[in-house]
Amino acid sequence: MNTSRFSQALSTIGGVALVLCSIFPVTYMILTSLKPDRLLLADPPRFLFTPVLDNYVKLLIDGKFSLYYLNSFIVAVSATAIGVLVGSMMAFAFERVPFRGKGFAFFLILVPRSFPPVTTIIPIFFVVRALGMVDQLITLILFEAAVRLPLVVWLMRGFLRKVPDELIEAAMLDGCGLMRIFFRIVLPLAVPGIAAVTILSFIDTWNAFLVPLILTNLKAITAPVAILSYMEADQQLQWGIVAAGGTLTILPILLFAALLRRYLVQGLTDGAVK
Amino acid sequence: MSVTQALPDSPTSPQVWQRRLLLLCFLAPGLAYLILIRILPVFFTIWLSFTEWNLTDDDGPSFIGLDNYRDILHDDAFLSAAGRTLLFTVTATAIELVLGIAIALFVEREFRGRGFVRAALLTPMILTPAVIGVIWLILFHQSVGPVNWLLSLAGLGPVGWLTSPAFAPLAVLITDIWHWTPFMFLLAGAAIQGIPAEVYEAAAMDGATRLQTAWRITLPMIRDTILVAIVLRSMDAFELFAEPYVMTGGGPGQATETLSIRIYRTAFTFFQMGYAGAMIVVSIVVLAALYAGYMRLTATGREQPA
Repeated sequence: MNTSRFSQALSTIGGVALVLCSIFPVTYMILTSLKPDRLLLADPPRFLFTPVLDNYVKLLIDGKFSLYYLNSFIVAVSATAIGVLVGSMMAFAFERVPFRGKGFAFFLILVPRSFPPVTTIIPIFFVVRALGMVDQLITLILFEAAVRLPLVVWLMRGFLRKVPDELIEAAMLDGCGLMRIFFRIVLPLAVPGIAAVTILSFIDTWNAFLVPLILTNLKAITAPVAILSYMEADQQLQWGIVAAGGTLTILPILLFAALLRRYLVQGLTDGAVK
Repeated sequence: MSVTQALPDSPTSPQVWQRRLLLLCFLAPGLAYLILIRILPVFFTIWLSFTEWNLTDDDGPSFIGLDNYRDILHDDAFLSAAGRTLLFTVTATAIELVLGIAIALFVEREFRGRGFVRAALLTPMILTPAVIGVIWLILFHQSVGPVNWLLSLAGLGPVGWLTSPAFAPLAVLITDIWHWTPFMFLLAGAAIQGIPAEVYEAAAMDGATRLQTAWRITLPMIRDTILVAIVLRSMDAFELFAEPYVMTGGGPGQATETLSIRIYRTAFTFFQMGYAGAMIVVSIVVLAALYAGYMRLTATGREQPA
C-alpha cells in the first residue's frame, strides 16, 4: 500500500505543478496591473504587496480605452448575433431540404474555414477603402461575422439534426409558416447548441487582432489592438498600464467561460472534431 | 453526406414552394454573403499576385505576369520567414501534441477537484492572443521578469529572451506551447473519454500495466482524433501573428518574423500589394501540398478524418 500512497502523492504534486504552470502567467499579469509604480521594476520581482488601482486610473482617465473597450463589445456582440442567426438558418436549410448542388454549396461554406483571414484581407482592405468605410465598426462587424459563419453552420448542423422531424412535419400540417417553425420550434429546441456557438463566436471575435489592426486606425480600434498603442507610447514604466489593459481585455472571456463552462467545452470539442 | 428527407416528397405545390422559400430565404443570403466576403477576395488576391501595385503611387495595378513569383524565389527575407514558420509549426505542433496527450492521460483519471483542474488547464486556449503576448513580454523581461529570476535561483542566466536572436524564437515557442497545449489536451481528453470502460477492464484482467494500457490501447484508439488535431493545430500555428508581433515585433532583426508578419509588413508597411498577394498564394500552395501529402500518408486503409 505504500507504493500506492507514494504514487498518489506524486500525482498530487504533478497536478499542482501543472495547474500552477497554466495559471501563473495570467496571475502575474494581474499582479503587475495592481502594483504601485515603484514595485514595477523591483528586482527580484515582488509577489506580495498592497494592491493599488493606480494603473487602472491612469489607463481609464482619458476615456479612450473605455471607448475601445466598448468598441470590442459592440463588434463581438453584433458579429456573433449576425453570424449565429445567419449560420443557423443556413444549417436549417441544409438539414431540411434536399437540393441539387448541395455538396458544392457545403464545400463553399467550409472552404473559407481553412483560409486564414490574411488571404482575404488585402482585397477587403481595398474595397473598404474605396467605399470610405475604413475605421468604422460596421466594417469590422460585417467581416468578422463572415469569418465566424462556417463554424456556426458546421456546429449547428449537428445540433439541428437532433430536432425530431415529426415535430416539424406536424407544425407544417397545422399550417405554420417556415419562419414561425424556425423561430418558435427549432431554435428553442437547439438552445444548448446555440449557447455553444454563441460563446465560441464571441470569444473568437473578441480575440481577433490582425483584422482590426488593418481595418481601423483611430475611432474603431478594439481593445486588443489598443493595448499595443500603450506599449509603444513609452518604455518600461508603461507596463502597469499595459497589464491593466490586458487584464480588462481578458476579463469578459474569463467570466463568460466560468459561467458557461459546460457549453464552452462542448463547443470547443465539437468545433474541432465533429 | 446523408441527405435528410424531412419534407414529405409529394409534389403538392405548397410543399414545393416551402422548399424553394427555405432555400431562398434561409440559405441564399448567407451563401451570397460568404462568397462576397470570403471567396471572391481569394480570386482577387490571386489576380493581384500577377500585378505590381504600390499603394503609394496613384496608378492602379499594372500587369507584370510572373515577375512577383520570380522575385519571391530570390527574396531571402521571405524564404527565411517561410522556413522559420514551417520549422516553428512542426516543432510547436509536435511538442503540444505529446504534452497534451500526456496531460490528458494524467487528468482523465478520477480524482478530487478534477473539474477545477480541467478548467484551469484549459484557460490559456481561450485567452486573447495579443494579451498572451503582453503576459509573456512581462514574464520574459531580461532584468525584472520572473523567468530570469527563477533561472537566477538555479544560478543561471540572465537570458536575453526577447533581445537575443538565439533565444527570441525559443521564447515565442514557449509562449505558443503554453497557449495551445490545452487544445491538444482537450481533444485527446474527449477522445479518451469516448473509449468504452470494458476495454480497460479487459486489459486489467489480462494484467496489463498502466503504461502498456496507454501505449497499446488508448493511443491506437484515439489515432483518428490525433490525426485531425495535428491538421487543425498546424494550420493555426502556420498563421501565427499576434504573439510575436506584440512580444518582439518579429525581431530582434528577423529572428521571430513569421510568414504572417512578413506578409502584413509587405502589404501594410511597404504597401506592395501585388507582391504580398504573391506571397499569400505561394504560402497557401505550399500548405495545401503539405496537407495533401499528409492525408495520403495517414489515410492508408481508413476513411478520411472529418
